Amino acid sequence: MGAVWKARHVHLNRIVALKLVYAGCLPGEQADRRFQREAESAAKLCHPNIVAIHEVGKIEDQLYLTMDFLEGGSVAERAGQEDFSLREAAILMAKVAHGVHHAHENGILHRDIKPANILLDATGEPQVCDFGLARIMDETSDLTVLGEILGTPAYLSPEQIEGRKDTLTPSSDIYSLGAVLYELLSGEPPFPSEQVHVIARMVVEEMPGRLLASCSGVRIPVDLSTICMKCLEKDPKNRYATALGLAEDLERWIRGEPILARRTAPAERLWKWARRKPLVASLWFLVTVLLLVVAGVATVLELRVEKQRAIAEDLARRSQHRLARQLSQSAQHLIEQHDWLRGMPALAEAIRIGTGNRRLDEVNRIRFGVLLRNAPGLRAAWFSGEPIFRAEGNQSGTRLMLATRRTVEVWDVEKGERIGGRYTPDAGISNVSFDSAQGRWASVETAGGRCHVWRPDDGVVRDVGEGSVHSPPDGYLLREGLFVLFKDASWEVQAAMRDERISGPFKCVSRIRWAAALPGLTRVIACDEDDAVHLWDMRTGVDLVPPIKLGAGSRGIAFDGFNSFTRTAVLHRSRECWVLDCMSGEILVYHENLADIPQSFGRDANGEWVFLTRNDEGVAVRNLATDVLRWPAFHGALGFRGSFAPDSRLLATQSWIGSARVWETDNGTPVTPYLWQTATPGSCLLTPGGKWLLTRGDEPGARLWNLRANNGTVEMPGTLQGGRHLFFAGDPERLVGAETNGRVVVWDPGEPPKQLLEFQHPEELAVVAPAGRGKFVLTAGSRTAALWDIRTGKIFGHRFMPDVPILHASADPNETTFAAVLAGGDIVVWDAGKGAERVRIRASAQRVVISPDGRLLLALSGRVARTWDARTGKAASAPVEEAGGPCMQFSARTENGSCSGAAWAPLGRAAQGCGMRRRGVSGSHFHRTGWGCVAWRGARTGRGLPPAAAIRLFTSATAARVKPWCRR
Amino acid sequence: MKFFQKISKLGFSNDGLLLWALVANEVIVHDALAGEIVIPRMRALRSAGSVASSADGRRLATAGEKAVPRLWDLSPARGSADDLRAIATALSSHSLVDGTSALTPLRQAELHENWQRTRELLGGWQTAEPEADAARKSSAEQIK
Repeated sequence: MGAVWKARHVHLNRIVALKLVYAGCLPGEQADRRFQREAESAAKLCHPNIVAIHEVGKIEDQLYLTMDFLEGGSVAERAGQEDFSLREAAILMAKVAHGVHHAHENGILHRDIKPANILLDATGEPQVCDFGLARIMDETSDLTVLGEILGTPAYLSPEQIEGRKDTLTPSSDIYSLGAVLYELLSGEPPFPSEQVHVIARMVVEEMPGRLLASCSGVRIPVDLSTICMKCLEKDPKNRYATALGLAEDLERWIRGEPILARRTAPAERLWKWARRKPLVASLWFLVTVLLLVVAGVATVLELRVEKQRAIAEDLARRSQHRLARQLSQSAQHLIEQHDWLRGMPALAEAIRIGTGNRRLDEVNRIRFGVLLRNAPGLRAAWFSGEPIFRAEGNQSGTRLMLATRRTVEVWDVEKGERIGGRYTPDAGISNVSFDSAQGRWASVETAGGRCHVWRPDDGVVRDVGEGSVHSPPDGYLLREGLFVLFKDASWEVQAAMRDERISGPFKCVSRIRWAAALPGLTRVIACDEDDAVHLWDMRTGVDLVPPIKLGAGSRGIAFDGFNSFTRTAVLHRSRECWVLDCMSGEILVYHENLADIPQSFGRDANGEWVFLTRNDEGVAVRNLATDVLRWPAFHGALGFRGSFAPDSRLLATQSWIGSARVWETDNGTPVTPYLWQTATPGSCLLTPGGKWLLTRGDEPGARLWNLRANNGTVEMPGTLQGGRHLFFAGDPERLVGAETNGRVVVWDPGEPPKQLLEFQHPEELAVVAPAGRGKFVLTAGSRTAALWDIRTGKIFGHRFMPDVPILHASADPNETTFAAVLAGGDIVVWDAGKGAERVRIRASAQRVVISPDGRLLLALSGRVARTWDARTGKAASAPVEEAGGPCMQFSARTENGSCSGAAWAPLGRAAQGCGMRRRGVSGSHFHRTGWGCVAWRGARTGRGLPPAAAIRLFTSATAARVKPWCRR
Repeated sequence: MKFFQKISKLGFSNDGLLLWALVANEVIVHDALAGEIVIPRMRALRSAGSVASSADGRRLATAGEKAVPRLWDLSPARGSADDLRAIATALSSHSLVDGTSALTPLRQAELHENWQRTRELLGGWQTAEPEADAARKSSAEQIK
């Protein structure tokens, strides 16, 4: 377009660059004016990165303009001498972009940005020159201008190449800036070529190569490359909107910040941030690492703690299970020692903790339930705060009287209710006697010496005056509405609840210690302070027999039972004893040196006097007449107190450690387990029939125990004499029992149980078994076998009556058929519904068993067993001969819902190797599911050996012994 | 397992938990696997000539010389373990020392507390409460 000269402005005396436009480049006046106008417009641009134009003019048809003289030359020159570093190029182009943007803001497009138009001052700062001139040249010149442009098409935008002047925008300059940046980074323009038309085509059609490395081999960062390539987009819309955008993105890259031209990943942005602020980043990094380390350590520690906790919890759980098992064993030990009640807390605790074994837990619950239903139970406890010094019952055991030193009360045992209110005399109570016949009233001797008769039902109290009603230790003083009132040396008989003196007062020689009216209202027995026993006529007070002199300290112990009242036993000192006939005054028995200390007297089932003693071994019962030990029993501790029930069939004992127990008088069999109270016992009271036991001691209090005479069982209605056959069958389940004489009874075992029907087999029964899914009962004697419908008690179908005797029979569990062994050994399968033989097997059998699925018959003859097909009568197996003995059995194994039979005959095979075979097996029983069987051998009687039996438990599959048991 | 008397019959409960044995006319029920006695020897189980188990194994029927068949309930005790413990404590008048198998007798207050709970669960009697003052006054009026 022209030449540039270094010139000096004469008037301003400054060095400027003088640009002379070639003559002919801008022909015409109009072009001159436009040149001047454009140059003047450009001269208005004032920006540090734009070369300032000082003057525009024309001298001798020569257009010129002056501008700052920049000594550093152009970027093109500099690039030819040395390479720009990436950072230098970015900084330079950012500044250039700022300058271009400034021009764009002033409405001026450069249109010819290229390295040659970017000048450098002495400090290396870039400045863009020739703003607006290209447009003038483009619009006014043709060939000459074209020749000028030909040198720089590599920096022109596609729209400039294509000549679309109307679409020229600042984006065209941005493209050019990108092309310059490209060359500065890579060392060559985007489309290097020698031929202009090739360059022009490539600018329009192709994308420049990706910037990977500079000419010096330095890798070009992706961001910088992205900025450059964004400028070189073919579509102006995809380039930077402004040159300022380009400048700022370059500056971001320079600062190491994320650029806008490319969406960066968070990690990359973080990395850039870290590079920008290494100190802060280092701190953050350290903190993060520290936190991570802390978190890691904490996690590891937590995991260890969790592991330790899991181990601890597992150990705790195992420990709990171990404790529960120990408690279970402890309970078992207590139960086997007949200490059921103390076994219950241990069992309950074992259930609460859980043994970790569901089966054992369930067994423990069963055990607990059985104890709960069968063990005697505490039904009432009285704790009045004072010792109960007297507890008595009436003859029938329906009423109980409890007395402390302040109050007396009477309870209805069955209802569990107190009868009336309490009687509490102001003066306190010194002695109490209860109406032992009816329990309707009690005589109370107050501490003031007055005697009151109190009726609990209506609360009536009668003061009968001064006197004593001291009773013998057994308390049977007041009978049939009469009592003996005595004071000092006189006595009288009074009616209890009416103001009537029956007889007396009668004088006697000595002060009376105790006295009681005998039944029949004819006699009074008394003991005075001279230890003489008197038998007086109740009406006249006359001695019926001479006074019976006993040693000092004698006291009445017991009267005979409730029926005869003819005798009484009297103890003298500690080991002397009399049995006195109260009617004749005759001393029936006298012992002067008893082996033990008597506690209570009673009569056994044969009417012989026995007495309960205590010794170091516990308790013992001796025959009073002979002083022969009837039976001893260990009570867990030294026997302390004891008494017979009124009917003498049972006796109760209490030991010094607080346990009570009830025994059968005749043989010493314990009826109850140990019953506990918390203190030394005072006395115990057993009601007739042994239903209730009252114990009292120094707790202070009294306890009433329900002894559960039925042991929690339910008695079935009706009887079954000598019942040898008993089984459950059917659905709903029925209980079937059979007597050997042929009587069969069917019960409904529900609540309450009831007898449904009974039927009679015409002969003595050999076999009774369930059949046809429990709907029928097979009865078989020697002549007849039949199926009975347990719903109607009628014979089902036809009975089997062979000509020869029936030896044995077995019912099909599922069908209405049964197999019978006849004399001679033949086996017949009888279809009761059709009344016909289904199969007859010629054999020499003695017994037969039908398999659980009814398909096989197991026949035994001596030691030989064989199975037969129950439907065809063909042999199903070869004969098996065992030396183990006549034992055979089927096991039922459920597989896929079907039941298959397997012969286990003889059982010696299953027991082989377990030591059972050679000793002989007498019986076996298989679990219904077939998982195992038990086998036992029969009594072994040897010299000096008791009858013995042993049980082995086997699994069916392996015949392996599951568990060796060795317990009593 | 060894018995020193002749075994007449043996049988499993249906679930295999229990094994009953008729030994010398006395029924004894064992844990089938552990061999421990589940039901102790009881008076009413003596003199049994025959024994049968229901299908679920939770009822036993016995018949013998006394000619009156009996039905035994072997069903497990249900209810919460705490209730069972309260019942066991009240009926036995003893409690377990925590964490051990040691038994200790109950004091009066403890017995009363457990007794009330047991009475709620099982029914039964109530303990007598002291009403001494009111009763004394009533008696004095009656005497006058």
